Amino acid sequence: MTIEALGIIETKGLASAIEAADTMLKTADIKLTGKEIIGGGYVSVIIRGDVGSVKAATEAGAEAARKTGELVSVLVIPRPHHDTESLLPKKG
Amino acid sequence: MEMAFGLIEIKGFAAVIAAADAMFKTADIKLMNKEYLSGGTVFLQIEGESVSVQYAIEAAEEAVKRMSIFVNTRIIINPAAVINSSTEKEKTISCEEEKEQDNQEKTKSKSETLILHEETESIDEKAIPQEKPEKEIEKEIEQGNPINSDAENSGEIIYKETEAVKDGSFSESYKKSVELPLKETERDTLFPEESSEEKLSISNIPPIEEMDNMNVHELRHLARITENFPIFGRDISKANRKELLDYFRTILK
Repeated sequence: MTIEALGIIETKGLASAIEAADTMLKTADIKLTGKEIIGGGYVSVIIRGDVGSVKAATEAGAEAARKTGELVSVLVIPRPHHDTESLLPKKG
Repeated sequence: MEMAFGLIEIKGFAAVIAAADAMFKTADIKLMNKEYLSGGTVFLQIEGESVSVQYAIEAAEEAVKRMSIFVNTRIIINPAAVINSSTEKEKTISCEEEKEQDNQEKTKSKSETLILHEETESIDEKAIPQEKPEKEIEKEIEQGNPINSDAENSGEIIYKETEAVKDGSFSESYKKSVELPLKETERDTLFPEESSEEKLSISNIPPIEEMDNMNVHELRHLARITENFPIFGRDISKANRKELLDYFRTILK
């Protein structure tokens, strides 16, 4: 299996994170693989897919999150390192 | 070769992933610990050769600062034993996690063995005729072996027994199964090869002169396989040589 690109949108507040995730899923053919809540109101949604799809999705998602709440950061890693996967929340 | 720790504090999960990815891609380091502190701050601890750690931390800082996010880093070269012990603690934590996993696996394997046990049980049940209450099966297992050994080739008997059990009361069927082998053995001595051999018609019976040379067993056998012989089964067994010869004479007349 080829390594898929990784996209993360981080917001302050769950509502805007969900809004961002929804927008991302509607924008491009990507998979929502998890969310991470690290405290302090920081919520991240994690997506995987083609680099192009992930880039397009995160752009749209970031815009949606900025409108609805506070966007903390947007991250796209085209080819994440194998060890980086261990930091991501496990599927299922 | 100097070992070193790299400590890095970042606000936000996305930045942590960015930093970790940058570190992994830059140098050969190992992630030792990740902790979520309060307020959305995440702490990462890496270990590796001092130069590797330096470059990794640099790369991480750069990656995170690009996202305009707060970052705080520290490199500890040749960490003191106390700090080592703190890492040991973390290692023990991970060890505990492994133990937990082991336990989970054990429970898994236990459940698997349970399943296996169940399977063997079900196989046992299959070996014995199906669709019977467990008690009856147990009884049959207890009592089945002696019956089988008595009856030697007991395929037919078991079949009959099974039928009886299916019909209902086991005690009756058990009595039958006790009686049946007796009957069977009796029948074997009484009518040996009766079913296998075809009946001899009267014209095929050897002449009386030949019968005079036969012993009683041979005569009885001949009587059993003779068609329309005046007496049957047990009577043939009881009859002596003279009586049998008399019967043959009456037939041949």
